[in-house]
Amino acid sequence: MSGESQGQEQEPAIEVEGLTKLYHRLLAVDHISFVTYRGEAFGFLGPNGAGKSTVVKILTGLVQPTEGTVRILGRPLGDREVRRRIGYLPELPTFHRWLTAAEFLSFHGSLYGLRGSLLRARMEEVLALVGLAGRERQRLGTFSKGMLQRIGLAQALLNRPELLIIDELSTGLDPVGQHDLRSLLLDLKRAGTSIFINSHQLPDVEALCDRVAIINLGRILKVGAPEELFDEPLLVELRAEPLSEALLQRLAQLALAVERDQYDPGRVLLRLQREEQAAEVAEAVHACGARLYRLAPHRRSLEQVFLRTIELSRSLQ
Amino acid sequence: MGWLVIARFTLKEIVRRRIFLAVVVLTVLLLGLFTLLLNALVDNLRQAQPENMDLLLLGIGALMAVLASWSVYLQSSLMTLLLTAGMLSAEIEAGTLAVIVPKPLHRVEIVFGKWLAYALVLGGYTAVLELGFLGVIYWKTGYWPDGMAQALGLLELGMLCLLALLTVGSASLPTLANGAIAALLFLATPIASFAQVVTQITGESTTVDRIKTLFELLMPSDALWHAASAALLPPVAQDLIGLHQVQNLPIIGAEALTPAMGLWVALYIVVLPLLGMLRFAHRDL
Repeated sequence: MSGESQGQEQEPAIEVEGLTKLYHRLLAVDHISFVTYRGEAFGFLGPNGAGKSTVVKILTGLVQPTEGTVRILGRPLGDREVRRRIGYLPELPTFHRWLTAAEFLSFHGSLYGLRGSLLRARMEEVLALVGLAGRERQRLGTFSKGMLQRIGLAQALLNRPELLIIDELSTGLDPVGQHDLRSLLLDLKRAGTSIFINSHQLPDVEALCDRVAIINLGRILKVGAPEELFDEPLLVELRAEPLSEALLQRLAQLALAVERDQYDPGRVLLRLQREEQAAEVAEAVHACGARLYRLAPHRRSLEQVFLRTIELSRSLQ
Repeated sequence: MGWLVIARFTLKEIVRRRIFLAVVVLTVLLLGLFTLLLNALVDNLRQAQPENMDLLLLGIGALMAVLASWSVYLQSSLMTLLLTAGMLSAEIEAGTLAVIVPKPLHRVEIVFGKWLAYALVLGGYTAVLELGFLGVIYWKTGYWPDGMAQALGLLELGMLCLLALLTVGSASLPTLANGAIAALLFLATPIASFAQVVTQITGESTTVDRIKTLFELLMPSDALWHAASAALLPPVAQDLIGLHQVQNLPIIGAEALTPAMGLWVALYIVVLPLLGMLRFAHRDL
């Protein structure tokens, strides 16, 4: 689903207009504007110091904006009723180490206004959701980094948030933990929770997000669905025999560029304008009497798109 | 009612922190040691069988009441300093507020909840300690100060003044800077008071008086302590040690709190935490 069609169908979850943050003389966020929609997972990608944590801190009320407006779930920033409907997991969460997991969740549940049996039931639910069932009496001081991340997510889910804001999901998690949490977030997204995830862990963003914004030096460089960010010709690997001159000429007519592999005479790389042209390549191979062994698209990963965008923005400075 | 949740949480935190347990254990030991010392002193006096034993005991009781209350004042202030210098700043530095502030409560409630919990604990601590010492003195000497309630109230106000200064400091400064500023102001006032006593004896004292007043305005705890000590000593005892000639000695005073100072203390206790709330409500975390 593209951003525009989403905009027509869905209500905004986060609306940011001209947001600016100046720390003394340091411009951390420079007039950025974006909208995320309800039920959407929106990724905020950027290198360290890009300004993405500042944006998250503004969204969660930890930092005051210098300029600009922010609306969350249709209400102005800082509205108490809105805060009841959002959950937040900070980067490298630091909690009171002397608390047990149950005491920690009970405290945060109370801040959300949960009480008694409702709170206890919800605590059990979220502990099970994040894979910490049975750890209620364990002190947070004895938790590993990954467990702290999980209990942090548990407190963010206590109020069944309509909007979940996450600042770096995978910090401190092992691969299994990363997979489990991604699955959990995908389930939440399917259940209609809006997610704003701030990350430089591209696999998280790639796996979860409907749309991505790339930010650097306080400015948004690109916004779009991950597939929209792949706006360059498709690279296709072709392996066929024999690679006759006639076939190469035909391929040159079809492709934007043909690059022969000097070490493998049966292999060429083709740059195609559209994905559908791959079928025409297969037909050309067949028409020229060659045997087709491999025809595989080489899609650029989000990581490559991200790195190239950042490089480009730096070169324009 | 977010402030109530924060206050309850802070109370729990204070009880669970080892520093509080250590102070409680040491206080019990100190109280026990004081009882043993006073017991030994009174026993020695009884063995000497002096004339006017009852009057002598009352005199010792009055003196001990002032000295013991002075140690209560110091311990209460030390506890206030240790427990609350990082009331907000330590949590900001540790990052623990990052998951609390986005919850549906106003930042003012966080400051108020914390302030309330610390005021209750430190107020209770000061009262238990003061009543403990005075109880032991009464048990061993039969002396019970008429102005006990007034003295206790003034000690509590002294603690609240220090808490007020530390609250606004903790909302604005790093923990170490806040603690250092509060400790310096707390220590500077008795030094000014001491200088005033010396100049009262030697002659010209206007400049020193002004400096002392300035310090008392910045940190009224010492003025409150002097007023508390005045309430603990009967006028006859004050005459005996010549207090009325100099009004104040470094530890003991004969002056009650002036209405102007009383008003200033009230403003100090109310306005500084409010400034702390205002500062915390608008600062970046």
